[in-house]
Parts: sequence; C-alpha cells; structure tokens
Amino acid sequence: MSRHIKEIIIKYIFFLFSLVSIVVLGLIVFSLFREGLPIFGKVSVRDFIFGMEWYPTYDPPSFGIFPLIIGSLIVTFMATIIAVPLGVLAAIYISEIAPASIKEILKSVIELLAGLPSVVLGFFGMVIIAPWLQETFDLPTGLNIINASVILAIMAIPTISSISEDALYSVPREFKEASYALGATKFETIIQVIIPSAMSGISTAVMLGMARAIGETMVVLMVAGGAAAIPESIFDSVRPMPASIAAEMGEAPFRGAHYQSLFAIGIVLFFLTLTFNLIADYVSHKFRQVGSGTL
Amino acid sequence: MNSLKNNSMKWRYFKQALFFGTVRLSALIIVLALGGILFYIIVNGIGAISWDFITKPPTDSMTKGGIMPAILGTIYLTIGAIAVGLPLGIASAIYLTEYAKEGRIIRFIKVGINCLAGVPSVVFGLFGLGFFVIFMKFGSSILSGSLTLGFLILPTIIGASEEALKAVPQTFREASLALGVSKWQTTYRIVLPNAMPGILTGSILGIGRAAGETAPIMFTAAAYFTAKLPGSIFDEVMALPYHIYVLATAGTNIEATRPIQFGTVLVLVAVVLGIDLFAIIIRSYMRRNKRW
Amino acid sequence: MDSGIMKLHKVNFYYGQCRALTNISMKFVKNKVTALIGPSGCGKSTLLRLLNRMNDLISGTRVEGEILFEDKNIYAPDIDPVEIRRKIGMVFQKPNPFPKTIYNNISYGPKLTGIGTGNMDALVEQSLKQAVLWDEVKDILNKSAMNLSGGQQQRLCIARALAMKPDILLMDEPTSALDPISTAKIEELIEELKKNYTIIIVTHNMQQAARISDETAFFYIGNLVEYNKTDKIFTNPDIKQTEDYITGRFG
Repeated sequence: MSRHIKEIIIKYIFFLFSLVSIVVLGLIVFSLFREGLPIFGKVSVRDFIFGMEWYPTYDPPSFGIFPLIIGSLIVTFMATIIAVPLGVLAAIYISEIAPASIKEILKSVIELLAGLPSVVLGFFGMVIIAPWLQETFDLPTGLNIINASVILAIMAIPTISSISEDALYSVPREFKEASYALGATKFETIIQVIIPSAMSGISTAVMLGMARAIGETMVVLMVAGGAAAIPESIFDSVRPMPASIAAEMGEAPFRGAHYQSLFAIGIVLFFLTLTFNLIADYVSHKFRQVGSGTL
Repeated sequence: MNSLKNNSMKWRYFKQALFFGTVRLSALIIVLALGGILFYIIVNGIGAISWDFITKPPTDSMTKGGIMPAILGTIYLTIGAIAVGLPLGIASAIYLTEYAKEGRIIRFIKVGINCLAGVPSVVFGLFGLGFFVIFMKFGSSILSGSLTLGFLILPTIIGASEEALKAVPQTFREASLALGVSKWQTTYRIVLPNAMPGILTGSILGIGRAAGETAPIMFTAAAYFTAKLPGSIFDEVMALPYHIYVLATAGTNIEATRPIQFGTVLVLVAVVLGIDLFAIIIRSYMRRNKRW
Repeated sequence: MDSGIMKLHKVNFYYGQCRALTNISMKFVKNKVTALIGPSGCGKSTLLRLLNRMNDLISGTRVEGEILFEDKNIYAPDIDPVEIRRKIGMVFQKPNPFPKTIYNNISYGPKLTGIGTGNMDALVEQSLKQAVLWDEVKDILNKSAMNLSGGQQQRLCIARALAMKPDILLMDEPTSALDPISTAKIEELIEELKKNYTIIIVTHNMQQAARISDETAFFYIGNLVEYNKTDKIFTNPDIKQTEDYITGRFG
C-alpha cells in the first residue's frame, strides 16, 4: 500500500514541476506590472500607446510610444517580407527536392545560423553592413530600417524554415502519390497539393518567425538607428520597442517615471508577442486534428 | 495533336525548372549569408586572437589586453543557467510524457511552454530585473543572471527532453511493468537512462543560446568592468555578449577597440557555434547507431 | 474439485463506450496450458492483458465483474497492480529485451523487487536453463541482448519473466514474429514449463493451439463461445461456430 502512495506522491511532484512554465509566465506578468503599472497614474493608457512623442528625459517628459510601436511593426514587416520567401522556399528545397547529403548539410547550416547570438548579428550589421549601405546609397548613416530588416530576416529564417519543413514533412505520402499517379509534375504537386496541405503549419511558422522578429532586441538596438520618430523611408532610422528598453534602462532613475515607462513598454511587448504565440498555437493545434484517412 | 501535347509538357517542365532554380537560389542565399558572416568575423577577428587574449584581463581602458574575465563570466552564467534549466526541464518533460493524460491540463501546460518560448529576451531581462534583482533582492549577480537565463532556455530543454523520452520504445516500459516493477522505477531505470543522450544533446543547443544572450543579462548580472573576478554568486560578472555590445556602442574608445571587438565576437561565435556543431554531430552519430 | 488458479466472473471490458468483452466467466486450470483462440479482434489479447492489469496503462478503459487470483479480486481498489504482475508474468508478441546485457536483462526484475537477494548468478542460470537458452548464451552473458537472434531474444524474454518466479505465465502470440525453428523450440519449452507454471497463451495459429495446449477457449467478437479440453474442441466441438472457425470457414 505504501508503494502505491509513494507512486502517487511522485506523480504529483512531477506535476508541480511541469507547472514551472506557467508559474514563470505568471511571475513575468507580476514583475512587469509591479514595476510598470505605476506609469499609468501619470499618463493614460491611450496617451501612452498612441502618443506620438517619446521624450522621456525631457522636462516635462512625454511618454507616447506610438513611434516605437511603428518602428517595431515596420522592421518586423520588412523582415517578414524577406524571410518568408527565403525560409519557405528553403524548407521546400530541403523537404522535397534536395538530395540526402545536401539536405543534411543545409539543415545543419540553418541550425548554426539559428545559433548565432543576436549581438553578433547586430555587430555585423553595425560594422559591415552599415558602412556599405552608407557608401552605396550615399546616406548619412547606414543604421536604418533596411539594415535592421535584413539582419532580422536572417534571424527569422531558421525559425520559419524549420517549422515549415516539419509541416511539409507531415503531409501524408498518400496525397503526393495520388498527385503523381495522375501525371502531375513534381512542381505542380508541390504547388497544388503539398503546400496547401501544409498551409496551417506554414502559417504557424510565419507567425512564430514574426514573433521572433518583433521581440528581438540586440539587433534593433545596434542597427536600427535609434530615432524615436515615425520614419518616412526605408533608409530612415527607427527605435523599435525592445531597443528603447535596452538602451534607456541603464540611465533611467530607479522607480522614476522613465523607468516605469520602460517596464510598461515591456508589458506592451509581452502581450503583443503573447498574442502572436497564442494565435500560432491555435492554428497549429487545429491543423493537427485534421489527419489523413489511412486504413 | 502530338506537337501540342509536347509543347504543353515542355511548358510545364519549364515552369518546374524555373521554380526549382528559385528554390535552389534561396538555399544558396542562406548558405552564403552564414558563410559571409563567418568569413568577415574570422578575417577581422583572427588578428586579435592570442593566448594572452584569452587568458588575461583587459588593460588601458579596454584597448589592450585580453577578455578573460568576460569568458569566465560567460562560463559561470552558462553553468548557472544549466543548473536551473536542466532539472526543471527534465522533470517537466517526464510529467508530460510519462504521467500526464491527454486533456485540458496537459494542453494548458503545453500552451504555457510555447508562450514562454516566445517571450522576447528583453522582456526576460525586465523579468529578471523586476523579480530576482529587486523583489527577491538578489541584486545584479550571477544568481539573478543564471535564474533568468535558466528560465529562458527552459522551453528548449523541455522540448528536447520530451522528444528524447518519447523516442524510448513503449515496449520497454511494458516489459518492465509486466515484470512487476513500479512505474517510477521503470521511468528511472529504463526510460530515463535511454533518453539521457538525447536529452543532453538537445539541451546543448540551449546552452549555446544561454551563452550568447545579451538582453537577459544586461540588467541582471553583467557589468562592463569588474575590478576583480567574481568570488560568489552574488557578484556581478563580465560576459562576452555584453562586452561586445558595450565596446561597440558605448565604450570610451570605439574605433581603437575595434580589433578587440572583432576578436571578442570571434571568440563568442567560436564557442557558441562550436557547442552547436558538437551537438549536431553527436545527434547525427546517435541516430545512425541506434541501440534498439 | 476447484483447481482453478484464476477465475473470471461475469467480466465485461470497455474501451471508452465500446464493449470489447461481454460477460466472460471461466476458470483457468493450474499447471495446464490454456490456449485462447479466435479471429483477429475478438478480444483474446484484451482478455490476456486483463489478467495482469496491463490494460490499466490505456486510459479510458473500464472493467466490470471480478477476476479472482488466489481468491482475491485483482481489480479490487486495495490491490496494487505491481504486486499482481510479479506473480503473473507476461511475454509479448514481439520480443522486447532491454538494451542491456543478457545477464542484466534477467537480473533487472529480481534486483528491483528484492526477489533475487541471494545468489543472483544462480537465479540467472536457472532462468536461462528453464527457457532452454543457457547453453547458447552461457559464455556471452555480459554481451548485449540486442545482438541475439529473434528466437533467442524471445527465449530471453521468457527467462526474464521466469526469473520473477511467477505462478502464471501469460503469452501473447509469442511465436508469431519468429521463424519455424524458433517457434518449435519455444513450443517445446512450453511443454516443459507447464510442470511448474500455469500457462495461458493467445495464438492465432490453430495448429499451435492444437499441438501444445491442454484446454482451449474460443472467442468471437468479445464473447466466450466455447471452452473445453483441446482434444474435444478440435475434434468434436459442441458449438457450430467453433466448428466453422476450426475448419476454416471464417476468420
């Protein structure tokens, strides 16, 4: 009898451990709110999110983060435009076309690319890409949207590629065989059967790639330029939300308004990426329910 | 009639060739991106590498000397992150694969893990600051940094552990239970040992990530300069990623320290990619030589 | 005379809403080989797995009725399934040795359950001899079990189960994944084993059932159709359905 009880206790101990992730999420919300919520006593939520002037160090300070949000959205959007075609096409190559040896190598390359620390990529963008941009396009600075977007795309491609590859891989073989048996070429099969079938998995991949890009800090901090203003061209510099937090936290007086506003940006960022992740999770879960009717 | 068919076939194959060409080009671009980045880093950084660089501390306002304290700090933080993340991650995975039944609870936990995986690293930094540094009063320290990094890599470790545990054939569990061995003993004596290589390999990628992250340690552990090496887990440390960032953006002598920046970048990249490559190779070897 | 070592009394078994076994009542005779036969999906493996509570591993299952072992219902709430499985061993359809040495495969169970505290070497040797495997492996006990052939692995699994000194040995189609020679070896050793153990074997091979079993139970779609001495079942069954199955009219 006591062994039976021991087994139940063990099961519940492990259950508690498995709740760690949820607990940490809760602690994150707790910390963000504890330090950031007080700012909304000084500025309304509406003014905070839609205000156009981010001058936290002026006297009196202004805490409108709309330019920061726009900055985040623009670099994310542009990074996505670059990363999605490259990532999805690479996934198609790996999953459907590449010979086995190249497949292994390419997967390893993408995995290594994913492993590059963001500060290294930021450094690369700052020191190699920026001067090149500056020279080639005759700009005052090479630290701008296009630079950040390219580097962010490099960071997002591994995510998009590997999740898309999983989605393509799980397309049932029966679908492909049916298509070939009807006389379709490989290209036609890929476009008309395989990709549509994997579409929800690919959308999940794109969403997670975008979530990655929005949340990325060091790259945008070092490369996007730092101007907290709404840009007019892709050669302008911006200050996406993570960059503001990382750049300004060091100088914000402890528990002052500026400090609290940075935590508040963290709140916005957290819920933004959370939404992306929940949508991606919902899409991918729905997709997993629909299988193939095999005997 | 025949020539019409031939033309249409030719057109279809032409479209295919075009598509395949584009696809191959994409793959090539990605490879060139990695290659290009590594090339520039190696070419510009190799000059700074020397035995002294790795073993001595910086001097002359960082314009000369080495980066040894940063290397040490990164090692400490990484070990700390593993100490936090590995046990929690394996335990979570054991519950999810060996004990949990399909249902709302397990879905809830898995959604939680996925969402935690998606939290931006700077938000983790704020979390570490708000919770460990301030609320728990650990201050900016190896302890705060390790805890923050540990939770950052937790989803990676859970994922790798889950995969490794699931790969252990169900029939081993059945054979053990049928002998009258209890479930926990089966998990501990059969499942876990057989899953351990996979767990460790997968977790190594988490280690690589912990070593390379900047934002989580910016406010929780890292300092630009520490006069002496850390003596306890409550001390601040220098760390490679943070060192690169500060030298490159806010240091007192950006141009003069440029070679050192490249050198530091090269060291960090070598360490992280080395760890990743090691894991990839081991994993490939294990897959080829499956024992069952 | 009640030599029934295991008795089933009005047993119904459900996978969720679906009833897989209907009103099964029967007695298994001690030190005899009982074969469970019937077409695929008729529930014979399900019944076998009920006897050592292996179906507990599948969620959503429900048992009604009683299964008595040593005059106690093994599904009673205060019974620990782990204890049951020490006394009722099982050999599976596909041989499943652990990725350990031959010696450690055998010693695994006894070590963890405290049975073999004493001379483990002797226990290992005895188990391997009972499974007619000792001569073939006595010099390679510390080599991996995964290197053995299919037939040898299955005999190893039998030895592993016997090392627990069970009262009953359940065998779920133990030879269906093996070649004819290994099959013959295992059938021979079953003949020997029944002197000391009670054996309940599921088989879809009627000739095998006729060859090695003393009693035979014929199942069809979750129902026990006929249960009698093997000779009678195969030469002069009482129920037409049994006769149809034996003569190959269906299944």
